[in-house]
Amino acid sequence: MDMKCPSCGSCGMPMEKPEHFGGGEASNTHCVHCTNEQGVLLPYEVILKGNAEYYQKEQGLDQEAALKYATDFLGSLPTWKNS
Amino acid sequence: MALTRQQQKEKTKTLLVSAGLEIFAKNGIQSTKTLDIAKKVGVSHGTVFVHFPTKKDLLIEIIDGFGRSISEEFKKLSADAHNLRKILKIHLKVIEKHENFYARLLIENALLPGEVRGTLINLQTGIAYFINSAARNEMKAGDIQTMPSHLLFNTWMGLISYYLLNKDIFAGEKSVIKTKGNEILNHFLKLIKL
Repeated sequence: MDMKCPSCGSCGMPMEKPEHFGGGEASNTHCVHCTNEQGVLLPYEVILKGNAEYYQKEQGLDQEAALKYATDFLGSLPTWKNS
Repeated sequence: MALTRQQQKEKTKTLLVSAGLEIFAKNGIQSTKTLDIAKKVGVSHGTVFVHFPTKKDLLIEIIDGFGRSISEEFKKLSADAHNLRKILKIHLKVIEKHENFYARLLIENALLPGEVRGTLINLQTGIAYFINSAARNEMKAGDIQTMPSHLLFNTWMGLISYYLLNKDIFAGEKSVIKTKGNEILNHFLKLIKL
């Protein structure tokens, strides 16, 4: 049986607590970082930029590389896989 | 009690992940074929594809599992969530658990497909965020030197990676993290102490 907690379909973040879910709704398939206050998914470009900036801030990645790997990573997730 | 079809499916998936971890670690990621993993588990090659259409998907699942283990461990910290020493100790503990596979990832990093590398970078950034958040608190409190977060994290990773990449000369057949982890941790904390 799969006991794993759900993870965000857009960025892969594990969603364990109510505040991790978009709009605070446990039925939301996206996390609080990938949605607006109403729990609606943000545009791809906004999420991509946010991820790339996160890589740059915490690990000091080169801007171009950060964008490339954020694109590759998001492309492996259900929400963006076939888009 | 007999397993339901769904339970059997999950069990096979878990076995494929464990076998993948073991064989990738032992024989290398590039040189391992999905057929080798099927043979190890005792299932048909087609069964591997049902769960993981490509080797890349299996690798992503393994890295994701690594991320989940570390996030589970961080969660247990609760009140100590900002204690840098404890966070670094947990980081070492989780690496030690899958040390041989982790060392393989480091060795073959540049050759990995973009999505796998992206998943790994994303995981590392999550870990960096935890470590850097604790470090930023200790910098504010005047306990450690002030420095850009990414340099603190990369200095830590640089040390660990060097030992992992050369684990044979530092620890022989033993776990290098088990053997040298405390020494590395104490040295790093001494370096950044104010």
